[in-house]
Amino acid sequence: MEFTHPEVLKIEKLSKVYGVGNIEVRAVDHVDLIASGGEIILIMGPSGSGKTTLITIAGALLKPTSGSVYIDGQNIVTLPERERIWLRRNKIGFVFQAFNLLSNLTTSENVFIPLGLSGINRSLARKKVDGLLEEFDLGNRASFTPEKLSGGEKQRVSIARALVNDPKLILADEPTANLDSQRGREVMRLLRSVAKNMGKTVIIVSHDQRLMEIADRVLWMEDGRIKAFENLEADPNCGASVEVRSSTPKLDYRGKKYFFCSKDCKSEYVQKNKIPASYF
Amino acid sequence: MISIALRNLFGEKTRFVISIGGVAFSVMLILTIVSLFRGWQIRSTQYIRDIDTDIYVTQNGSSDITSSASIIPIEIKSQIENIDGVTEVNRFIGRPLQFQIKDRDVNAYLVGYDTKKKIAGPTKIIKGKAEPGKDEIVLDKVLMTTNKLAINEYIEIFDRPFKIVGIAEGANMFVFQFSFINQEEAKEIFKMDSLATFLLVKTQKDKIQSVIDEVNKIDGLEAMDKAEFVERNKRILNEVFIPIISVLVIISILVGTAVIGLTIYTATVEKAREFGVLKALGASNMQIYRIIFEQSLVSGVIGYIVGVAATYFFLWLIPIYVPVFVTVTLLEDLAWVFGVSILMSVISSYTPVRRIVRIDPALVFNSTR
Ligand SMILES: Nc1ncnc2c1ncn2[C@@H]1O[C@H](COP(=O)(O)OP(=O)(O)OP(=O)(O)O)[C@@H](O)[C@H]1O
Ligand SMILES: [Mg+2]
Repeated sequence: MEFTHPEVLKIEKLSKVYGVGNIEVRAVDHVDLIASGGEIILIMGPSGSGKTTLITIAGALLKPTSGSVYIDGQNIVTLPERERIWLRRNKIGFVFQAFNLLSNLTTSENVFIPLGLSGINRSLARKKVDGLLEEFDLGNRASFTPEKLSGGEKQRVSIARALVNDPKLILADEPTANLDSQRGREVMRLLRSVAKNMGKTVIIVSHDQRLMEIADRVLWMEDGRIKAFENLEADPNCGASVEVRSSTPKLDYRGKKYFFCSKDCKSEYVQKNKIPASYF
Repeated sequence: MISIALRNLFGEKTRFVISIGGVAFSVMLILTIVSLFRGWQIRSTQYIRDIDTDIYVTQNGSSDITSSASIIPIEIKSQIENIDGVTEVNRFIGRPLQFQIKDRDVNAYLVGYDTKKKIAGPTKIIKGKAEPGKDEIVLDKVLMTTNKLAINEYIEIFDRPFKIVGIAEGANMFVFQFSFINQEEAKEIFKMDSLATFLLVKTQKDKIQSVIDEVNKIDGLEAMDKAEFVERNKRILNEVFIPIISVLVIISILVGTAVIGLTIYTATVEKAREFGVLKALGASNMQIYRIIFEQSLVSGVIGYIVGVAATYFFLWLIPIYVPVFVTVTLLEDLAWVFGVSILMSVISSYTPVRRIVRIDPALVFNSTR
């Protein structure tokens, strides 16, 4: 099935409900999303908004309550487990906040894992692994175990591992969260090149504002729903993201527009900054 | 494929050593017990195998030498001599006997050795002479060492003093050892002047079976070839010891299985997250089972090798400190104990595998660690 679908990832009316009754949590709520080859999408949002749940479902690691996820045109939600395993191995690459390298394996062995699971010819596999390590500037770390690697190196190894089976889709959850700013930047550049030079679709879920620099699109997730980031503004009083609608409390002050999450926040802000009544 | 199993095994040295040790210990226990049993089985029948005879004739139902029940009237000897194919019939006198050496009870099998015809004498003499004269005795090495006796010392049997004139080896029945006095004297002290314990019949080469058939026609007698006689005496020993040995072997297997099982299980629990990662990366349950199974299998095989090495060393030490023990390690025993080690591996990977099935690969996104 070497037919390439322009929509590498398509999510339709996806919902995930944890628990029932009183403890019911709607972690993902009617989410729609389309991502094509070579695109980097950043999904941001507060803690508990359902970001991880969303990419766990997109990565065929969790079944949704309702809705569909198409990878390369194939609805993965209805697939039997065997094929979901195959899909994870061949079509999806994962990058984690915690790196998740196998502690007793060396760098090159960690990168080799997906190839080993596919049972690929040894010398071919070796070439692939060595090539990737060279490309990621990890050649001289090939025989190190993870404990001897820096955080940035670990994340580079995990990105190499995500890419080794040449998947179409890379799913990254907080890829920079455990890294200092310089290492975070390295990883960002790498993810960008993964999308732009290798043509992968990269979905990143993160709190990290810096990632906005490399994203083609930024989406905002809150209470399980996705909103375009362009329609959001930060409340200058409490810092919350506010969806800009006609009903939103707002303020025009010295040629600038301010949006508030509530009337209370607006009046607090006005009092604090001693803004004359004529402005509102 | 690189072996994740081996990396995990060798990555945790202490646990690896414990798990190898567990298997090795149980392999050693099993092999030692079985080797002791084998040695004892072979050595305890050595004496009757070495006797120069084709057929053993016993009183009906009394082919067990450890019971003194077989008594045959000596007149029958000439009757058997007349059977076609018989070349020689000899009289065997012997019985199990308890007597005292230096105030200690000693169990021995006292043989009345026919020194004129040299029938049924000691298997091997390591010191002194093989043929006891009047008031002389040849004792087994084990009796000598355990009772700290020396040659030319005297011991008392039936209130008669006997001078130790020779030390025999290889006639060791574990619970009792063979000792030899002169047959003439044995007739007297056992009051067996006109009786024999067994009759030993030699025949022309191709007549063994026909002679056996003829003897069996005589009322109250039972005849069998040497192999059968040895087999019957072994069987009596087996009946007593095989249940005990089986229990010990089962305990050893349980101990070994528990030790590998526990170490593999803790290793698996500790690495649960990594197994989750493997699942997320597209490992099938089968592929993960294989890792766990390989881990226990390698522990099993290495443990077996270490265990066999330790057994050989231990078995080499035993006769130095406890001469009464003789050991024989048979290839077939090494083979089935290897099978047992593999079995222990298979069983011990069961629980960890059950645990792995329950690991949710979605946990890989948790940011812990
Ligand atoms: N296995 C689960 N069982 C029950 N509730 C869950 C489970 N996983 C997540 N949730 C709930 O679903 C909601 C969304 O969680 P999720 O982890 O997707 O958020 P997130 O946006 O990734 O948050 P963070 O930024 O803190 O990582 C939360 O309210 C969480 O408590
Ligand atoms: Mg999260």
